[in-house]
Amino acid sequence: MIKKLKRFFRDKRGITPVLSNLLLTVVAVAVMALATSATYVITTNLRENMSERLFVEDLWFNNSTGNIDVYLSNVGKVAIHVSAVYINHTSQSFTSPFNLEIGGRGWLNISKSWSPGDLIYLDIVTTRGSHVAGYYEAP
Amino acid sequence: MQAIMKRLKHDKRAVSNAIVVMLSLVLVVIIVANVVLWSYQMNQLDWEKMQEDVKITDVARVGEAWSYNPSGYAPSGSTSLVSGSISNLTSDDGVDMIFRSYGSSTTVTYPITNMNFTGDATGWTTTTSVVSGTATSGYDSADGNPSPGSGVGSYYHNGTGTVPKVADINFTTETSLNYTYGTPVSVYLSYAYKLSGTSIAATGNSLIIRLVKPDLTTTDLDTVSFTGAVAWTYKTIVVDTTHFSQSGTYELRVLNRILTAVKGTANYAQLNFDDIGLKITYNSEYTMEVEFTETSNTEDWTQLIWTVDSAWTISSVNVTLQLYNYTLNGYPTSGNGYIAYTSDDIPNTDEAKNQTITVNPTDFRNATGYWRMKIKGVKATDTQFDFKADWIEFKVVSDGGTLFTFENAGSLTSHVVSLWVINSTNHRRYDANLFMNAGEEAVYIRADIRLPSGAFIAKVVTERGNLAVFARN
Repeated sequence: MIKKLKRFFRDKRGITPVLSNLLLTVVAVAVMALATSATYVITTNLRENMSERLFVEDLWFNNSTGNIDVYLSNVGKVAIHVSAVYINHTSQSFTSPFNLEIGGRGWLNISKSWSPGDLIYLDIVTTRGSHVAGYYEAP
Repeated sequence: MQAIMKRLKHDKRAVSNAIVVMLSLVLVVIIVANVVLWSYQMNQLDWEKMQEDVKITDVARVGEAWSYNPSGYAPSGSTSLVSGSISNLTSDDGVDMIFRSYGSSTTVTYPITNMNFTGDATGWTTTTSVVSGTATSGYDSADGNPSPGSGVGSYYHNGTGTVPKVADINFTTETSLNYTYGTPVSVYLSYAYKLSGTSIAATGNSLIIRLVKPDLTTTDLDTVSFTGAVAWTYKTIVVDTTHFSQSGTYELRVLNRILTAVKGTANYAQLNFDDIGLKITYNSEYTMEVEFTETSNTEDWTQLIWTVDSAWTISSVNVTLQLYNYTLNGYPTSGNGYIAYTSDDIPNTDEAKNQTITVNPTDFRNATGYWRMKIKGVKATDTQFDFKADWIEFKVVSDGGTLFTFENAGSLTSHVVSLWVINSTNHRRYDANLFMNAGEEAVYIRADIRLPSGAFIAKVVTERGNLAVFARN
């Protein structure tokens, strides 16, 4: 046993290939991990962008508050974060942050005064860039 | 083969390359598979959404209704039942219960225009029937009914004898008057008279106040027989009101016989009369008022609909219909439980009036379900009128929720997740959980959803994000 150990430590030729193989393995694993992570990120973003579906269940020109309330429903496969609301292409303030989990629903209150007969173009934009838009006339 | 394997064993780079290529391929396949898989899934989602076709075919209240008709009545004031009975009020069949109005306000009229002879004798004319003597008559500016009468100014009949005979003359002085207000409440005749002269017969002088009606029948309202001179005397007589039941032109006549006692031109007798008037009080407003009663139930009402179908025998009666409010402890004068209108221009026109009460309908019954309804009609008129009640209904509804009828006209099973009931004041959302097979028509009852009164919109939302709308005006 002692003889074997002595021979192992005296044989300098065996260390270099091992180190080089080890180094190559580490590099290969690192590159693959990087590639896998990149793949995961790319596919996840792609999937989330494709999976967003936002639906306006109701829009209420609320007489009691004087504002516009929109009831939104998340019918997609991913959680939604509303990043901006535009009325007639002008950004409006709203109850922020407004997030809807998958299957979630809720009122989005937009601070915008209105008058009977007003025709508005409402555009709700999510953080991923998808949007839901439409024309609505105040009663 | 052995050579190939041997070369492969010796060529370490080839193995490494193959592994790298294989791993790269795996990564590419993962990426592509994910993209394809998610694209497929979302395309399927969108396709299913497009294929979905849910409709709302009807939205209706679910509840039980009870209808009641009056079982008791109580006329107010001097309202009287003419004909019919309470059982006539159960249906709109033209068979009426009829009530007669009563005079609720009066007006006094003095139809004789020149009754005090203050300036002349306009309106009065005299005819004479002379047996003997000389007759003169007309306005007497020197004499009249003294204070508190109207003073000087009166009408006179003078009979003066002749040399061979005494005066014996019959005077008839009359005036006309119009009366068209129906049988009056009261009639008084007042007049003052005086008999004077140098020769008055002890018997034979007389005075009669006579009324000639539009149909030319006559009645004597008062008679005075003289036995000698009489100073100014003022009389008031109660006249039977039925004498004025006719409409048209009446005549009031003063019939007077003047008879002197002694012959000769210096002997005369003269009757003066003054302040002769009729005071007629007639009804200038009529009112019909009756209260109907019945016992209903003590259920939890959500709606009360009360209806009165009736007619009036005169045009344009001011009508108020009231339901007793047991919370206010009185009949309301506006809002729920109160209907006011003017009846049709054409008499005897059937008019149905109703009101739907959805706010606190139970205020209109007591603890045992008893309710009261008052009907009142008033008109400023001199003509008495009747109220003809055809149908009175007190209908209550207990709300058991809302019945939705859906139709899935699409080719996929649909999952309803939301219901909306919207009116002008509120947008109300309800959670729902209803699956409908393709082509299925589903009835969905929700006890917790109460439809608003008036116009509303109902919406239904599916899990895939489709919407169906139903509007009711």
